[in-house]
Amino acid sequence: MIEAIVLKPGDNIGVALVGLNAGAEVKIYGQEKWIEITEPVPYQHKFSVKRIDTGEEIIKDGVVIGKAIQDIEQGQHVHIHNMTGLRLKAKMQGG
Amino acid sequence: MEFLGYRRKDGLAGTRNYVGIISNGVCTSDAVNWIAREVAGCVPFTHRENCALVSPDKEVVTRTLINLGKNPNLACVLVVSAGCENPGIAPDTIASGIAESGKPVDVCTIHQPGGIRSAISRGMNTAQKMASDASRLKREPVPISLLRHGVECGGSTPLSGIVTNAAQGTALDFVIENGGSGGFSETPEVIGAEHIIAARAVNDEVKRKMLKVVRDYEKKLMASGHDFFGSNPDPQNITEGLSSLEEKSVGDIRKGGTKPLMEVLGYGEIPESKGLFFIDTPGHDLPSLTGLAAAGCNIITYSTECAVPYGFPFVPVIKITAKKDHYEKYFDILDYLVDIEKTITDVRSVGRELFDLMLEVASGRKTQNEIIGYTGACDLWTVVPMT
Repeated sequence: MIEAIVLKPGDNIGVALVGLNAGAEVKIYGQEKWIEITEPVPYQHKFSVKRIDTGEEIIKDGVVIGKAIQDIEQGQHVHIHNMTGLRLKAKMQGG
Repeated sequence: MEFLGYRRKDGLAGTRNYVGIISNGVCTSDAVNWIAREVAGCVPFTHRENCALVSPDKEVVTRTLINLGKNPNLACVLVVSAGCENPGIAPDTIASGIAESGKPVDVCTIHQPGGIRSAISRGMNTAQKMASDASRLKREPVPISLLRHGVECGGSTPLSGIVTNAAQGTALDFVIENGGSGGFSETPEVIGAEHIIAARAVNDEVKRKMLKVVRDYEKKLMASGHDFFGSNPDPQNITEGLSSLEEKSVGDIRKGGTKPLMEVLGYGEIPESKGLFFIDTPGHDLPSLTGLAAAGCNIITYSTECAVPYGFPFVPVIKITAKKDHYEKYFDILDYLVDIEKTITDVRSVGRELFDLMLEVASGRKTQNEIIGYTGACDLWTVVPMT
């Protein structure tokens, strides 16, 4: 069973293909790489595969999908509480 | 490779063989539905536009209605008009535009002595004759180069990009590899990933146009002053794990496959080349589906993780999902369950399965939408604010 996938080399997030619990050691599909998950990550949601500093770009499938609005440690859940899009929404807020 | 289609005089092929009953304006919606309901073999296309249209909507709506009528899934077309002296969308312009394809076209006008019932009755008689003529046509083997595949998505999740859109993008690749054409749309849902599509453009002009339609759409949305977070991505997208419009776009563009981008079309336009095209449409699926049908798509695949129930009046829409529970619960909406792990490990085999299903449907197998008759919703895209 595939537990998680990182779509392109260089992505700093992975996608959970099963719900992940805190403390889980998750194997990334197609890689000899395990990430320790530090908080629950719901099915299909994102987690960081490396530390991401505030303001750093979030990259999925080789594309910038937003930036971190908090420091994100490896293995944390990545979603609207700690990242924001840069297009359309952020511009509205003058970002 | 072939499918069984209906050959048309203009060289195209239909996967269906309907008489299209098309309204030129909202005043005739009831008449259109009435005629289509009473005469077997007829399908209605109605919309909310009327005589108050100004440029550019007037030209775009006219072109869209003409090109919908030219869609090869329609054997004949009856245009239904109110008969006003100053119609926004002239019925004769629509009818003569459609007639360029060589198919029989007529106009039914409801402002007539004798009242609406009498006018509709005359329309039904015309439709009856057309339906009889159309039913004489037989399916015959036609090359896949005559397949034009529209791809659509609605109710995205993070898995749409990785799984369902990857599957339909691969099916689209198969269509194009076999000499056919196809395309996708929904401009706002490319925002943030437009450079990936533009990089596949066949030349600089197509590349510039791709980037321009996205830039113009984004500018227009920004100028409105609204905050679209919660609309696009929508609440369901966000709950399922999409965190930004760009993330949604990254998944969305997977449905466009991997082939070179040959053309970028305005709304209601028909592509001139074989291969992949993009149509400038809203992200709302109804006007987007209309854009695909006006571009001549004779088959559509549609990934949906919220089991969108509607189809399209005269183009079969194959609904695909990666949610097994949805596929079982919503059996009368969804046509194909995409295997998640198989798509990740071998996308070509899944794309091939979907492509084979498309050929079956193109040859006459009915979609769930068609069987249940849930194909009535239709809409057009206009850009001028309502007054």
